Amino acid sequence: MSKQINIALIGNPNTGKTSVFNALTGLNQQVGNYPGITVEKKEGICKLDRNLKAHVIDLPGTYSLNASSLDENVVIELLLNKNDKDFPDVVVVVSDVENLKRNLLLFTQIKDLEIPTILAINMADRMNYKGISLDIPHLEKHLNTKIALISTRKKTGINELKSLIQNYKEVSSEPCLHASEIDKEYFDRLRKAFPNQLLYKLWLVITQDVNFGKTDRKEIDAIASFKTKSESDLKRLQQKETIKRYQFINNVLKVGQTVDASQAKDLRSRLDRVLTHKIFGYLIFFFILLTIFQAIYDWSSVPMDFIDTTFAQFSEWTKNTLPAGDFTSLLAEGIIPGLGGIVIFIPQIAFLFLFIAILEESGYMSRVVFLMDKIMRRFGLSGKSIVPLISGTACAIPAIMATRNIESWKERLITILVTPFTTCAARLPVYLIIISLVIPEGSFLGLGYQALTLMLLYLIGFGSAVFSAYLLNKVLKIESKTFFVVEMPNYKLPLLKNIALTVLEKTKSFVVGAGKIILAISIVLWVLASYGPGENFNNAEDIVTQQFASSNLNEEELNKKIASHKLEHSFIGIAGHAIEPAIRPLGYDWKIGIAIVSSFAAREVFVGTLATIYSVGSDDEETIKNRMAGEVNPILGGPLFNFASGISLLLFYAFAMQCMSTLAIVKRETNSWKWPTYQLVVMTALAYIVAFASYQLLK
Amino acid sequence: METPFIQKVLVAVTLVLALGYLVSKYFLPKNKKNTNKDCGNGSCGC
Repeated sequence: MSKQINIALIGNPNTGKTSVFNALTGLNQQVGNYPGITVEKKEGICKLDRNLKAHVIDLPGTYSLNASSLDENVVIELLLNKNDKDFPDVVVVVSDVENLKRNLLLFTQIKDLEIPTILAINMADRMNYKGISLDIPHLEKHLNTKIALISTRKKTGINELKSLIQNYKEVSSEPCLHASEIDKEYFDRLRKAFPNQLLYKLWLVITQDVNFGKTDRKEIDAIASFKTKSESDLKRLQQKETIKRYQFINNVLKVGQTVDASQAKDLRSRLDRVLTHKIFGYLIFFFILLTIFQAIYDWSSVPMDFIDTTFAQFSEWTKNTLPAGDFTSLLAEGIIPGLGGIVIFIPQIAFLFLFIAILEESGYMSRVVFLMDKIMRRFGLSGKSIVPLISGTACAIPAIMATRNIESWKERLITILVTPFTTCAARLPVYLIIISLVIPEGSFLGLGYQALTLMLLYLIGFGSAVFSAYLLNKVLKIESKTFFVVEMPNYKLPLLKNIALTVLEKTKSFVVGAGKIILAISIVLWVLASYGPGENFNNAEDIVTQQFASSNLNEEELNKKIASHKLEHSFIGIAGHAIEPAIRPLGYDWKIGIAIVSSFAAREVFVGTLATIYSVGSDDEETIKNRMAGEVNPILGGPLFNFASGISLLLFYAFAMQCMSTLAIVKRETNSWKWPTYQLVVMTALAYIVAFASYQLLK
Repeated sequence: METPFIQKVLVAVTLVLALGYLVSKYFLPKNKKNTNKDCGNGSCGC
C-alpha cells in the first residue's frame, strides 16, 4: 500500500499558486469549503512515485501569517493545529520571482513554525525579461531550504519540485529567525511559562484570534500579560518582527538576487504610467467601457434576431403540430415564449462576459482597481470594494461573497449594502428590450444612442452605489481601521482557453440558473392567465360576441377581443388590476405590474413574464419585441412602451432591489435580517420615487 | 374528449412541479446533507 503525505501550497495572491496546484494534481482535484465557513478549499492528489502519494491543499492567498481576513485565517488555523487531519508534512511556499522580497516575509514566518518548507520560485521564465538573476545555492544555504525554480506558464521545473517534495525529509526545519530576537525579555518569560511549546507558535496564537492544540489563548494571555498589557504593545512587537524579518531577507537577497534594470525589456512600467495616469487613466477606462457597450449592441443583433424568430416559429409549430388542448397551449404560449425571453439575451451576455474576462486576464482590471481606489476612499469604500462592484456586473451574489477579503467591517458592510446597485447581468435583458423599444436607432459621433443609453444605465448603477456608500459612511457609526494592498500582475496576452471557459461557465450559470426559475414562473403565470373565476371569464365568448354584434368585426378581430377579455378577467388579470392604482402613476399598465411583481424572484423574469402574458390567446407568429411594441396604453392610447414609460421602467429597475437570492445572501453575510430589510425598503422606495418623477416629467 | 382530459392532467402535473420547485427554492430551508465536521469535500452541502 502506498504512503500518503500532506502538502500545503501557500503563497501571496497572484503568485500562480493555483497554477502550481493544477500542474501537480492535474484532474485529480476537488473544490469544497472549509468547515463552517464558505472559503473555498481546493485539494487534490499528486502521485510522486509508486509508493508515495501527496494530498495537496491549495490554501487561500495571504501576504503574511498576521491574518486580517477570514480566508487568510484559514492558513494560520491549519499551520497552528498539528491535530488537523490536513496538517502538512511539508509546506510549499509559492513565490513570484519579481516580488521575491515581499514573498519571503511569509516564507520566513512559515519556516519559523519549524515545518519542512520548500520554496518554489514561480514565473522563472520572466527572469531574463526583467534582468533578474538568482544565486540558488546561496539562497538555499541562508534560507535553510530547498528551492525549485519553476514556470507554470512554460511548464518547467515541476518535476524538480515533485522530486524535492518526494525527498521532503531532507528539507531542514530550522527557523530563519529565532522568536527571541524580536524581544528577548518578553520571549524568555514566555518560554518559561510554556516550556513545551514552540515559541513562534505561541507568539502567533497571542497575536491572532485562533486556538491550537490543548493550549487555550486566554490562558496564554493571562500568563503573558505581565509584559504586553495593551493591544498597541502587541502591534509594536509585530512591527518589530516585520522589520527584523525584512532585515534578514535584505541580507540574504543582497548576494542571492541581482536585478540589472539595464537588461530589463520592461513594457509594464511604461504602460502603467499611462493606464493609471490621474487623467488619461480615467479617460482610457471610459473609452474602453464605451467600446464594450457599442460592441455588445453591434455584434449581437444578428444572433438575437435569429433566436427571437426561431422561438416564435417554434411556438407556432408546436401549436400547429401537437393536438389542440391546454397542455399544447401551455407549451406554445407559456413555456416556449418564457424561455425565449431569456435565451435571446445569450449573445449580449456572452459578449459582456467576454470583455470582462479579457480585461481581467490581461491584467488591466487590477489597474482599474488601483485607479478607482483614489475615488473610492472619498466615499467611505476601500479599493478592495471595487472588486465586488465590478464583479457585481455579472451577479450581486458572488460579488457580495467577494467582500469577505475586506478587513474593515464598516467598509465591508457598506460594500454589501451598495453592491446591488451595480448593473448585474439580470438587469441586462430588461434594459435591452426596453431600450430597443423606446430609444431610437440613430447615432452620435459613431456611437449608437442605444449603446450610450445602456452605458448611462451602467454609470447610474455605479454612481448610485458610490453615492449611497458616501451616505452610509456618514450615517453608520462603526469604528474601523483600513488599509489597501493590491497586487499589480504583469500584463499578458489573455489565454484563449481561459477566456472561453470563463465565458462558457458564466453564461451557462446565468442561463441555467435563471432558466429554471423562468420556466417555473412561466408555467404558473400561464395557468393564472388562462383560467379565471366567474361568468366574465367562463362566458367571455358570448359576452364579447354580444358586445360587438353590431361592429362587423371579422373572425380574427373578434378572437383577439375575446382573448383580451379573458385575460383581463383571468386570475392574473384580477391581480394585475388590483395593483394597477399603485403603478399607474409610473406609466405602467397591469401587465407590466404583474411582470414587476413576478420579477421580484429574479429581475430577468420580467421579459419572460411579459412574453408569456402577451402570448396567451395570441395566434400570431410574433417576436417578443414586436408584441411589446404593439401594446397600446389602455387609457391614453398610443404605444404603452413610449419614451416616458420606458425611461421610468429603466430607472425603476436601475434602483429596485428585485432579487430574493441577493437578499438571502445579504442576510447570511451580515447574520441579520436588519440589513436586507433596509436594503429592500430603501431601494424599492427610491426606485418608485425616481420612476414616478421621471414619468411625470417626461409624459 | 380523451386528449383534452390528458392535456388538463399534464397541465396540473406541470403546475404542481413548477410550484414545488419555486417553493423549495425560495421558501424551504436548504437541506444540510452532511453534518460531519470534516465537510469540505465538495458534496457536503455547506
